[in-house]
Amino acid sequence: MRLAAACAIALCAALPCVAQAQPYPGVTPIPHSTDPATLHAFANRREIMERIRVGFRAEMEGRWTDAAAEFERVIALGPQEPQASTAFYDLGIARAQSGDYAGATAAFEASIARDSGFLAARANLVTVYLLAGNTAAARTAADAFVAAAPDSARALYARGIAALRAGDALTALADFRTLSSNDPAYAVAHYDLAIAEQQLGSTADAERELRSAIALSPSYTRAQIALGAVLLREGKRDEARGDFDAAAQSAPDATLRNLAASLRDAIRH
Amino acid sequence: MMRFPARLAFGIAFALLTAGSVGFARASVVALEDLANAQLQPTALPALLGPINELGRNGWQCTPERAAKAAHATSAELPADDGAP
Repeated sequence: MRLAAACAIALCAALPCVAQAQPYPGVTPIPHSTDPATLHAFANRREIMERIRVGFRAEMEGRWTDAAAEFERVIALGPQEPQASTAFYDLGIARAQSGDYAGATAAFEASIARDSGFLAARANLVTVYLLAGNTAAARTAADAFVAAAPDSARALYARGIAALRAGDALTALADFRTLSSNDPAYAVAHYDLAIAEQQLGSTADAERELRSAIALSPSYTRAQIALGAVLLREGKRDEARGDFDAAAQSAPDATLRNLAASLRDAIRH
Repeated sequence: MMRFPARLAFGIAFALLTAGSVGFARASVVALEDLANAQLQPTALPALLGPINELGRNGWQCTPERAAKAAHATSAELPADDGAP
């Protein structure tokens, strides 16, 4: 009898814990205030959220001018985080897609200034600097991206491309090697490794990387054409012709098919 | 007297033709090598990551932030090896 009573007491004591293990969404508090400042802050926040929603929808539909107008208004309203960095990020996309690269980089920089861990903003900043042809700024932004996320495939790829464009083949080599070891099936990393090796004058290593890329992705026509070019540099004209011919036969894209055929025929004559 | 200039003319013409042919062939080789070397270019730029909604980058559904963070290239929205130029 005593044991049963003790068990009943223990169960009753545990009931509130069981109830706590099942959380339910709380009811959003309705602001009961007549204070003008509080009401203004509430309206401001609501407008920020609504305009970001409208701008986001405009971007998904490719209406870049409409989207930019919404995000500019949001920024003028002085949002808190995370809406501030988000508005600048989305504004950067709208401006980049409209061809305003200077405006886009300024927006992405502002986004990162508000949230330094915002990796998508860092990624887009590098891309826009590269699109604008500002290789030095792209390299600086890519260095910061890699420092913030050393394992990010996008950071390594972006810095590798910026380095190749700037003629820094050693950095590109290191980045594409890391990218390739993190994701051995990614044939593109082998292709870019080959470009870096070729820039360093190591044509034999470039040939090996291109063969790896083609082994991973047999339909990789650009790698096949690049292999032909490297073989030509090595004086292996017959092998080069064979590769150009294979590319001309298999390329799904007409431009690459014609290019490969022209290179093959130029060796023949 | 007339035969010598004719021979000379033939000789000069032959030399000019030979030099022209060699020059043409050399130019063809240079053009081929230039065309081939022009193909040794890095791959495409990474495309812009997409927009983010009013919840910001921290939600688990934030695709652009996940792509920027991914260690695997296949999840990072990077250029593919699909044979496109």
